[in-house]
Amino acid sequence: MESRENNTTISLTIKQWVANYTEPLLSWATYKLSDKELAADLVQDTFLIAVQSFDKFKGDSEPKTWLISILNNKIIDHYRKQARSATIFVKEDIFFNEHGEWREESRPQHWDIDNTHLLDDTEFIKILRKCMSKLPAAWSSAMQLKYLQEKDGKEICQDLGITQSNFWQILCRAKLQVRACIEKNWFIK
Amino acid sequence: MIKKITHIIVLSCRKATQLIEKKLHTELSARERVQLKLHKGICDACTLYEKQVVFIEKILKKDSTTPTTEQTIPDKDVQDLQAKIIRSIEK
Repeated sequence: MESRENNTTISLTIKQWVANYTEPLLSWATYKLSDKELAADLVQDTFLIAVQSFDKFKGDSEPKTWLISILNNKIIDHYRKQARSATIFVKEDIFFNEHGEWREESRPQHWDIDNTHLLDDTEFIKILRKCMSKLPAAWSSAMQLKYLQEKDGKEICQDLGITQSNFWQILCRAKLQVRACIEKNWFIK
Repeated sequence: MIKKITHIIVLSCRKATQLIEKKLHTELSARERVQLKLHKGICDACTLYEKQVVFIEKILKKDSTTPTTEQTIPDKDVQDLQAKIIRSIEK
């Protein structure tokens, strides 16, 4: 009898949370994943996990904080799966010639970044996000993992089971591509 | 041949960009630090490159923790998902 009452309390609490926090969780997940359907799935998983591990919830943290931490773990899992398949195979190196020197058309140009407030410029952030979205999924996943987790790069490599030099090379190719894309779409139009 | 020898001492740009990336995420070895410094001493393009990727990294980090652009989710999507979640919890 007692446990049934307990279950009813849990169920009522979780329902209240669903009403209160679905919107912020979905918004956060959509933002992190740029994929609406996947975001909705992971938010649903988050609440199911919350039901199952309700006894681990400590009343001293905000429910929203707890839910977000569950959701973030789901997001990290997703990116980890994707990043595991990352390879650095490139057919043709558009950035460097056979001596490893910058190709003339790919040499970085001067950017006027000293006196601007691009950090808060939503138009610029949009371009940046667009450039990120053009990366192969596995590469951008590797980048996202780096920002989602407060971990040293070395630990991330261990998680992914890839060598460090491989990881730097993937991130480097990704950065080369994003940099060139931003230059073309923002600085040197 | 000369190019090959120079690259052993001061790195190629391709290798330099990799060290620049590594430096963003972890510490370089003493040898790598010297190599990169020497390379940047003679290469304006890589010097610019480093400055720009440090800038990109800073923005990506900031954007990752505090969304700069608002994500507005249509009310209907939220309601549909809420209903779906409640159904799955009650199962």
